[in-house]
Amino acid sequence: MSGPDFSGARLDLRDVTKIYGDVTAVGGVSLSVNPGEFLTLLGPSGSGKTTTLNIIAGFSTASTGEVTMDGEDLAGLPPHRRNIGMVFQQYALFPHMTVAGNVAFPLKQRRMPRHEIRELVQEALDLVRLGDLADRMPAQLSGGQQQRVALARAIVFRPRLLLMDEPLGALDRKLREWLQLEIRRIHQELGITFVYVTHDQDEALVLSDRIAVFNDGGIEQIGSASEVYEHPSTLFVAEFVGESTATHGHVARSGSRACLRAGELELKVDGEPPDGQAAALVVRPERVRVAAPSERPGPEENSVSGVVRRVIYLGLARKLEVEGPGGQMFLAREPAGGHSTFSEGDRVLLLWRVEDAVLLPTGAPANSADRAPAAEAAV
Amino acid sequence: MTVSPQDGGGRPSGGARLRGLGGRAWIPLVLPALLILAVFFFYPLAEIVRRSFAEIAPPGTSPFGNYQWFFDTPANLTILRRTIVTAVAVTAACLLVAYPYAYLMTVVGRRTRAVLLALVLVPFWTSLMVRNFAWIVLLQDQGPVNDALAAVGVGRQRLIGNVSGVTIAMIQILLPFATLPIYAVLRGIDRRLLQAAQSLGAPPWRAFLKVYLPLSAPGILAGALIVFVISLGFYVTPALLGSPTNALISQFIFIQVSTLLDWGRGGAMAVVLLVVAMVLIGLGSLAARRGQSRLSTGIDPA
Amino acid sequence: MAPTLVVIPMGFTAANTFQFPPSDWTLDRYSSLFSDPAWFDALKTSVIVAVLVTALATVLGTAAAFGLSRSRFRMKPAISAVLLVPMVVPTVVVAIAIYAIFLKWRFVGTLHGFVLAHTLLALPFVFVPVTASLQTFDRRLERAAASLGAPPLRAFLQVTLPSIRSGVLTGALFAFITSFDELVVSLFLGTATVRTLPVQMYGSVTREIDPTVAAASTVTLLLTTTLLLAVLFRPQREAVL
Repeated sequence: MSGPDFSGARLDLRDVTKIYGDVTAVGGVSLSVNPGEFLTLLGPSGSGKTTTLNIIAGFSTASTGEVTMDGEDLAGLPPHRRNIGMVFQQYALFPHMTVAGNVAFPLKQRRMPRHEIRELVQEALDLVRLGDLADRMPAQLSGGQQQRVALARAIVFRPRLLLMDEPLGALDRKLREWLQLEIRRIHQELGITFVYVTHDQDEALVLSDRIAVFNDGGIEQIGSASEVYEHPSTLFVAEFVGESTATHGHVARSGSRACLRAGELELKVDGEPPDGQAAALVVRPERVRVAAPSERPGPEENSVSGVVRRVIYLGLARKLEVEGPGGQMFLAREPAGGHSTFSEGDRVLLLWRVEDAVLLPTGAPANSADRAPAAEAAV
Repeated sequence: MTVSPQDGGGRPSGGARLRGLGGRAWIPLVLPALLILAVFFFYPLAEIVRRSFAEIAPPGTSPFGNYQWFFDTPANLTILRRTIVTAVAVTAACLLVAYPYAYLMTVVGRRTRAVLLALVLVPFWTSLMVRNFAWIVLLQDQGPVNDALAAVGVGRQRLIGNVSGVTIAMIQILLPFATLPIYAVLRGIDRRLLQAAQSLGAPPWRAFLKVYLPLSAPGILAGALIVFVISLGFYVTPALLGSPTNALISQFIFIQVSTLLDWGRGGAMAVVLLVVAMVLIGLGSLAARRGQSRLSTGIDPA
Repeated sequence: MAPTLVVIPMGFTAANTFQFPPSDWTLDRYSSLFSDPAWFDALKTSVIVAVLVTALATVLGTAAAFGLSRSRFRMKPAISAVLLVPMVVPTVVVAIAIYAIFLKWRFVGTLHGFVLAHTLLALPFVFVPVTASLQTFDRRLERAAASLGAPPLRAFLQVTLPSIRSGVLTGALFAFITSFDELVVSLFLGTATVRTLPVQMYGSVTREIDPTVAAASTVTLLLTTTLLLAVLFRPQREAVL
């Protein structure tokens, strides 16, 4: 392998904004990516993640803020001189060049000698396991193969940072799952820094060292997959990443401990949140146990009684939608092959441990005060 | 690392814009073409307009003298009328031939379609002079067409040096201009709509009339407009196959300028022709745009 | 299409008329096309003018189409319309307008006069197909090229241009034929010494009844048809490394 330093680059964004006319596409994003890290920017479309990626790549200019790579300011450096690899949506392979021609393109731009180009191209194609398709045209390849050519092309010139913009979006589920593992393997083999954009939360959870959840032009939370999933710091994160049931209400006191009061429901919560705080109690479906109405909840358990409205078979699990008091729907998931016999119309009792639910403030005044420290804490 | 969530409204865009790529980079690319058009096309056109007002036969009369002359001389109006009648006839004939042909192109297989398309395109790009010459050979008094007419007992007709020969040749020459836009529209019509109409109880001819024909209207409009406008200004065919006594307006303009050197009157006629053509094109594209927006909003055109 | 083909046998007629079908056959018409200076010079002028027009119109038209496709200017549709105007103005009007100005500038009967006039008429025929192929061009390819280290000009030459090749090629062909075939403007710009082939043909049909025109027609027909079919049925070239 040539090149003096083929380890990952460190990337820092400081307070980056992008404003188009009256629209703020990105509003004050700061994040740091460690050398060799796999960071995913996760969010719904229009949340600013792709704009952020384009600012890093140099296709879009930040309105304010600073992007540095290994401490060097990238401002004013055109994309072709940034030495950052990028895999595009739908791959953007050059249709008039062979696979080998595509992969050789960045090396030719760098005026490498022919024999070296041939060697590096072969090496890159071998890495993505396409060594024998070098002479095909892109149109003759399947979607998954095209995706891997795009990947080979983006890494063949040894960039120290690789950006990927929804690279698996156009592929079917099976292929996507396999390619996720391939990308993971290639990341580990190369040791360079990856910044990956997706709207698919499963993909983000599988691939990433850390996930930055984008919403409305800003980052809601940044943290490891388990942190983001188990300890969402905002209601948006809780609802966007994985499934959950959120019960909206106000914090109140019930005897010696805090609880959330929502209509006729009174749910025990952990910690000592301020009285009167508007908040939502979020619980993941797999933490909810479905029991017969006669069962007694434990002292550290919340219980809600309701009627099963729908049972959805998911193969590995079954999901129950249960209508609780006041018409609110609760989700519960139980492993398939269990002995549960509840079906639609049955009365049931839903139970979960107090520590398994997360209380998230929702009220406008308390919100901004609580959100930032929560995000800090999660990192 | 820190995360600062978005703080509601847009931040004041302080600090320098980092880099301004793109922006106006396109201007130097477009400018040369615009410049060459301005100097060698729009300026000359403006000059013709100027001369139509400035160069008046008895000097000192109204600046509209040339236009008054044009519209007050019966012979001129005869020529204008003949030009329009010819253009209407050519347009109608072109549509009648082009529509079925374009329809055929949409229903045949890929290979046949390529051949049919080539049959349209090759004459489209075949030298105008060559095609006119071919028509002279065919339509001359002792030519093959007259031979055939004599053989079937119709008798020889005078086909050259009058409007009929001009019309026949113009139809053949302008046919591709009608076929191509009609085909472009027909190709985009979902043929399943016809099946849908039939499944809803419309007999095939009715389905065609009520569904297919209205959807193809933009193509018909475009084709008719192009053929009509070109017919109005057609010079070569009338000059070669027609005669001075049956002149169309373009020949008349040509003579005014090249033989009589009367730039004022020639210019005035050119301006009339130009205005008619531009107004028609303007109306046509307006109608097309209106039709398009109606179709795209899904409101029934009926 | 078929009516046009009568010019081919006419090219071999021995009679000094346009009698059809010819009674006697000869190759004289072809030899006079290439030996008679009036005919050969006209053919030469036509080819030279058409080649120059093709080059000029293709470069200008492609640049304009590319520039405009990259612009986010509010007046973009208006600029496109302006570039298309020469296509819809009646040719006679264009002809006398250009004639008026070129008389003043002494461009009549000159090579550059023909080239400039034909370039105007050819511009829209390049602009339209190139614009069309740019519309289907995936701009991410340019970004990809940049991210792989290609500066803008090289990205255009190595990635954009090959992708819109068919539009540019079509435009170039149209430009060539537009010029090679142009008659009305050329009738004004032509002189006894400098004229294009269609002008020479026009003269021979209207004044001289010289059957050499049939030979010239056949040559023109062959040339344009071959070019057109070559572009239409061009085998999709497989790019090499």
